[in-house]
Amino acid sequence: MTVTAERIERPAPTARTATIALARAEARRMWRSPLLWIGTLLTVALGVAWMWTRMPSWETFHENAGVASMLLAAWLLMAGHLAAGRDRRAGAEESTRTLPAGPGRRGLALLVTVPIAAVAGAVACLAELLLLLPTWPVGPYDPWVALTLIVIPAIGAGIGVLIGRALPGVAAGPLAVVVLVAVMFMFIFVPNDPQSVMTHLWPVVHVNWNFGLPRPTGWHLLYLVGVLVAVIAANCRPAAPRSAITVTVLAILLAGFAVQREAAETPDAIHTEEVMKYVAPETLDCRTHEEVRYCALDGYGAWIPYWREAAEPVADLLPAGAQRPSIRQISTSDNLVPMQAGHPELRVGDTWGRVGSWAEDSRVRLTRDYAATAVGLLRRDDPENWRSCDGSGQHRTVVALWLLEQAAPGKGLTVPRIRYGDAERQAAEVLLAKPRAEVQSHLAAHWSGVLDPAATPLAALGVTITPPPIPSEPAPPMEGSTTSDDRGVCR
Amino acid sequence: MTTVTLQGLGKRYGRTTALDSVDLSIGVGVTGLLGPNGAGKTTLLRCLATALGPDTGTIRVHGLDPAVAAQRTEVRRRIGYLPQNPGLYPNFTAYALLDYVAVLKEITDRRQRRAEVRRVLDEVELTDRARTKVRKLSGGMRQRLGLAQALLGDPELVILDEPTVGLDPEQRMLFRALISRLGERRTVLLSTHQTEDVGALCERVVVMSGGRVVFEGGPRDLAQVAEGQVWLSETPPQGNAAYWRNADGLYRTLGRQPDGAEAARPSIEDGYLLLLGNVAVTEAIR
Repeated sequence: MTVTAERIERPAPTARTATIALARAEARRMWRSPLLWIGTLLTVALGVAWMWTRMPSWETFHENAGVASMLLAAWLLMAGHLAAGRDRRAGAEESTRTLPAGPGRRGLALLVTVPIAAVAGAVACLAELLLLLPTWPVGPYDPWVALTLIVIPAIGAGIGVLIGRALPGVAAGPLAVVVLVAVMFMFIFVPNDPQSVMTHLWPVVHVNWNFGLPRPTGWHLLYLVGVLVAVIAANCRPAAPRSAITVTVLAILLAGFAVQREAAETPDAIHTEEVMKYVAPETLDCRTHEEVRYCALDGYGAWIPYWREAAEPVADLLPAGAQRPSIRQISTSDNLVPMQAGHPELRVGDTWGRVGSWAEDSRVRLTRDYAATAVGLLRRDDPENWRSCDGSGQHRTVVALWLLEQAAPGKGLTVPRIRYGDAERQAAEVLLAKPRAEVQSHLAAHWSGVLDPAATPLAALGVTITPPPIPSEPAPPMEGSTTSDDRGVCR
Repeated sequence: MTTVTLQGLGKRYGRTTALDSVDLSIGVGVTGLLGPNGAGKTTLLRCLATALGPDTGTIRVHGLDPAVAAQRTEVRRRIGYLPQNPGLYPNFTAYALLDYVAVLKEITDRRQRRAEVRRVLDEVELTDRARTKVRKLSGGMRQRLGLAQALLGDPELVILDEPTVGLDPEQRMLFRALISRLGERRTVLLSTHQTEDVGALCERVVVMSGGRVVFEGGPRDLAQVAEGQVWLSETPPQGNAAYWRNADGLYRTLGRQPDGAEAARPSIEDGYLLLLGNVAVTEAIR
C-alpha cells in the first residue's frame, strides 16, 4: 500500500528567525500576564508606602525599592515558571514534542522574560519616584545600586524559567518562592557581621547603619550580574549544553568573587574614627543663612531649606551677637567634636518627615532642639548629652520654653531631654504674657545671664524661680547601674 | 512525491511488546487504524509523529528518517498530530492557542500566521469561537480545535489518535466531514475503535492486534473476511457461538451456521471481530 502526496513547499525559516518569532510570541504573552501587572503594581504600592512618610534619600529609596523589587522578582518567578512549564502541563507535552521548535529553541525564546522583567523593574522604580513627587531623593546617587533594581526582577524571571523547565507543575512556582524567601532571609538574619559574605548575598544593597558611608556597590552589582548570567546560561543548556555549563560555572565563580570583594571592601561602620573619615566637616556641604550655618552630608543639601524652616523662627528671636547654633548633619556615629571650637551646634540625622504630621513632627523636633541648644541646655560636644538632665529652676529653661512658643505656637511647651515642672511652665507663661519686644530686648541685654545656669536674669520680668546649686560634675549613674539616662542637674 | 513507510518497527515497554515488526506504507487519503485496546495503535502513531523513538526498525516520512536529528525537524515540519489528549491550554483563547502553535510550527511571518490561523479555524468551523477561552469550549469544539492545531502549516501527513472519542453523533458527523475533506489531498492516518468511522471515512484499513498488523486493505475487503460467516436467526444459537440480538429482534451469529439461520450480508465490524477472534468478539459483545 503505497500512495504519494504532493508537497506544498514552505521554506523553513532560519533557526534565528524562528527563535525571534517565538520570543516575540512569549513577550506578547508575558506583557498580557496579570502576574506581571499585579506584581508591578504591588511593588510600586509597597515601595511608595514604605517611603510615604519619610523624605527619601537615594540610600533609603534604593533599599526600599530594592526590597519591593524582590516582591516583583517573586511574581515574575511565578510568571516565568508558568510560561516555561506550559509546554509540559495539561497534557501538552506530547503535542509540543512533535513540533519543529524543540526545547532548546523554546528555552532560548523564554529568556525574553528576563529583559521584560528588567523593564518592569525599571518601570516600577520610576513609578515610585514619580508618585513621591514633589520630593526627590537626596544623598549621593549611585548608578550601580539603581541597576540592581533592574537585575533583581530579571533574576527572578530567569529562575522561574529554569524551575518551570525542570518542575512544570503549577505548585512548583509558589513553592520555589517560599523556599527562596526562606533562604534570602537567612542571609540577613543569620550573620551578625556587616563584613560577612553571607550578609552580602542578600540581593538588595544594604544601607549602612552609619548612613553616608561609601558602599562597594559595584561589586554587589557584579555579584547580581554573575547570578543573572548563571541563570541565563543554565536556561541555555538544552540549546548549547557545553557552553551553557562552562558559562554557568564561570558566572557563579564571578558572583562568588564579587560578593567576597564586596564584603572585604565594606567599611567598618562600627568604629567612630573610621566613620568620621567619611563624614568629616570638610566633606560637608555647608551654607550660611541668616547667620546660621547649615552643614549637610554630601548630596543632602536639598534638605537645608527644611532645617531653616525649623531653626530660623528661633534664631530670629535671639539677640544680635548671640551665638546661633550651627546645624550639622552627622552619621549615626558621632565623635562629638564641633566644627568650630566653642561654637554651639546641633546634629540632625538622615530622616525628615515627608508629608503632613510627619513633616510637622520633624520640624517641631528640630525647633525644640534648636531652642534648647541656643540657651545652652543641649550641647553636642558634651559626652553626656545622650542622658537627660534636670533644668528645674534654671531661667534658661524658661527662655527655651518662651522661644519655643514663639517659634512654634501651640505645639506644646516641651524641651527635649530636659526635665522641668509646672513652675518653669508658669514662669514661661509670665513671659508670654508680656509684649514680645519687651522680652526680646530684655533677653538681648541679659543674654550672658541667660546662658549661665546659675543666674536669674528674668527676675526683673517677674520670674521668681531660683536655680539649684550647679554641680561641677554630672551625677554618676545610680548605684548598681551603668546605664542611667539621668545626669542630674543640667550644667 | 512522498511516501510514508514503516519497516520492521518494534517497540517494547518493559516486558510488553507494543509493536512487533510492523511493516506498513501509507499514502494520500484516509487510512484507518483499527484494533482493540493494547493493540499498539497509539504507540505506532506516536512513533510516526516523532513523539516516541522505536526500538527497532525504520520510519521514513517523505524519505526522511526521524531518527536522524536534522531530518527529524524536517519531518516535524511536515506532520500534524492530534494525540488522544491534545493538551490545550485552558486559559488561552482558541485564536491565541493556534497562534502560539503556529509559531512553534515555524510560521514566523505575522501576517501569514494570522491568515493560517483563520484558515484552520474556518476549516474546523470555529471562526465564531476564535476569542473564546479553551476552557469554555465544549468537548467537541475542543476536539475540533485540537484538529485545527494539527492542520496548521498545511501538513502533508495528519495523524489523529482516536479523534471521535466522546463526541455526540452530530459532532462526529462534523468531524467525519472534516477528515474526509482532509483526505482529498493529504495523507491522514487515524486510529479508532469505531468501525462505523472506518466504513464512512477510510479508503484503507489497517487492523492491529498484539503489536502486529493483521490486516491491510480496503473497508470492503475487511467486510469480505466475514463472508459466509454471518447469520441471522429467530432463536438464539446453541453452543459457544458469538451472537447478539439486533434491533429487529433477530440473532446475529458469527462463525458456524446455527440451525435454521439464514446468511446475512457481512459488515466491516463482522470482519473485524472475526479477524481478531474471540477476544475481540467478547469485548465487542460486552
